[in-house]
Amino acid sequence: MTTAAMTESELIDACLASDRLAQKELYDRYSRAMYTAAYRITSDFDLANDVLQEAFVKIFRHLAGFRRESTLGAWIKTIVVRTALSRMRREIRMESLEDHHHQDQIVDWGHHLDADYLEKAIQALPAGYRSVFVMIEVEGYSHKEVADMLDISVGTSKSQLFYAKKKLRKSLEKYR
Amino acid sequence: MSAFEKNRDKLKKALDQLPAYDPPAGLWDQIQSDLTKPNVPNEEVLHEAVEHLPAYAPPVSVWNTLARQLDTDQQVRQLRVVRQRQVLQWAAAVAFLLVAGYAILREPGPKVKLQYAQETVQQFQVDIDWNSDESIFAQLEDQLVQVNDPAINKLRFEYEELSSAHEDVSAMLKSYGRDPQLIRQMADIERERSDIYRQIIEAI
Repeated sequence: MTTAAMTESELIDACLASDRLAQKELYDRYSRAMYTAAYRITSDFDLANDVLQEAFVKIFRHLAGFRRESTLGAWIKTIVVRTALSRMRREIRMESLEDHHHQDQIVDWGHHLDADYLEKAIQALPAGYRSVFVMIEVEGYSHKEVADMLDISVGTSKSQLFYAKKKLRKSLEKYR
Repeated sequence: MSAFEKNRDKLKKALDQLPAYDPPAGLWDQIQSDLTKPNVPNEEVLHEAVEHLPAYAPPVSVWNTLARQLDTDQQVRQLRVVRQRQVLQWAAAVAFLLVAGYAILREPGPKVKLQYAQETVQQFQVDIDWNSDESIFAQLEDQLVQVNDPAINKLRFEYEELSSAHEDVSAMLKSYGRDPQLIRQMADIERERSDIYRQIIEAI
């Protein structure tokens, strides 16, 4: 059987047997999405290369520890995101923001957002805002998960997201 | 009344008398305009844009570096397995030897009957072996002195020297036991003594 035709479970078993073709297949299946996630968080292609490499080494080394309770993609993404955050640890500074009031405020995105402009605006965000915004709005993590990964409170995660959105909106004004 | 307020009735009265304001004239037009736009929640606009964000493919060099790293990992793992196997083999060998040694030491072995007999060692009789002719020669020596022949005298002196050597070796045999070298020496002396004794008898 070719590796391309393998199911996820068969692919995992082959990777556990150190089958290099299977490892390449697994890498090919997830590398694009994971590289994109790494780039979104780091905003640096070179750093994203390092993150992807380091993360996949961890993935293959610890694949035996994957319990198959979640999807393989979710497990891989967690490792990639954690690796990226670890690389960004020095740059990510959570500014002390007031956790209240923003619940009542509204960020108006208008009726249309251009994805390319949004991408540029995301990359222009400070590392702390960017990380929280990407993890929640793009990668789909909850505030609780983000708080755990970044070692911050849920309230801080919420306020960071709010101010990230506000800043994004302001940046997107010039593209209107 | 709230514990944090005083003269609240005054506040209420003042609040009731607060002025009312009319909205600006153009507000309705603005509301009307908003109502004609498609009703898309703000967050959905964002989500839609997020879904269309570009994706990026990693450069080939990432996999190449990763593959090299995995190769190194595999070699290290194989080496570790070989070492573990060697350690296990040695441990098994040592354990086997210990068990075998313990079993051998614990095993009483076949029953062996030890028998012994006591033998009386015969004392080395040097005098008896070699001194039998001494008394005969002592009797002959008196006659030799009377003959006083130079050739016989020479033989007599030689005999006496050999007799002296015989006594020395006898003493050593008594002191050190039956040393093979001493016995050979004694045999040589006795052979020479017998030879000279024979020559003396012939000369007489």
